[in-house]
Amino acid sequence: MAQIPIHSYEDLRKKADEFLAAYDPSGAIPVPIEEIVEFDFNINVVPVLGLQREFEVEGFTSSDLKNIYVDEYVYTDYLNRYRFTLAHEIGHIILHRNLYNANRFSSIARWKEFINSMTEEEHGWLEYQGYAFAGLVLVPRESLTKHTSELVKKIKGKKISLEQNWDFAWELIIAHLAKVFQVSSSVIEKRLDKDGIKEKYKK
Amino acid sequence: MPTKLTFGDFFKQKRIGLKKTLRQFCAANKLDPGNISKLERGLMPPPQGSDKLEEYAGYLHIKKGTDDWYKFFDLAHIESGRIPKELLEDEAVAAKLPILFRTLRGKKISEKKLDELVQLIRKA
Repeated sequence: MAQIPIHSYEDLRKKADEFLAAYDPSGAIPVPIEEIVEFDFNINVVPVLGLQREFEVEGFTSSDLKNIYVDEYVYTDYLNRYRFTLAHEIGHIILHRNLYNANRFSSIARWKEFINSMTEEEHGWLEYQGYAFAGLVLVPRESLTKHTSELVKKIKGKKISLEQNWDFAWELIIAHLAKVFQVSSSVIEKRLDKDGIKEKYKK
Repeated sequence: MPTKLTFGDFFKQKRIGLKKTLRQFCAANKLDPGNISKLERGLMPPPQGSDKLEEYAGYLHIKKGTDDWYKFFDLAHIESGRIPKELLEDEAVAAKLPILFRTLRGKKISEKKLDELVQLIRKA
């Protein structure tokens, strides 16, 4: 097995920014991740019935990097989760290409051997990197800062004190940002936290 | 040697030419994305009836009488005698299996579940 790469959050941010500069140069929001996957990477998105129900998995990339399989229910009914799954898988393709290239399986038995050989820790690292990359790609820092600032201004414009209504105001801001970026609220919360944006408004 | 263009390749080319993702294309035309994905990947044969082909040609904005129209029908005809591979061979299915595969809760998958996944991917 190829060595598991260890990327810091700042490394991942750099990779995500490079990705966005190459594939979303206009800075379109929401980031057109589905179009990037299908048109730029020429990857087939394959909806599969029962992937989540039977295997508790929302999606995965085939070892030949030609297909991303996505649970059909997520694909048709949960746009935000579907978009995150695509961004996460593209993260693996960008960050872990060596691992894919080093592991082309000639038989199912060889594949099973490989799957069982990976430790929880190794897998945890790879998954963390995929998740972080997806959040950084779908919620670019500059846009997040800009949209947050606009929403804070709007709240203040209504003579509502951000400090006195801190939790409720941020709940509203996060819900609004989630719609703008087409991601879940928890992705926005993590991104606001990681970039210290929310903190900036604390007096 | 250049790879021979298949009906599925041509279908996908035309869809992408419209700047429609599979999901957008299927939603706009009330088609099943699983089946269209199989059609594009050559895992399902082109429809035999000309009515269905004309309907698909319409969705893909292929105008009647154009070179693309004849190509669309010719490719479908050429592949009409082909028996589609309903199930992928072992080596081909191995290429479609994941490198990274754990449950949402980070659990390893049992041997039985791995076999079930292989069967699911054969048919997907």
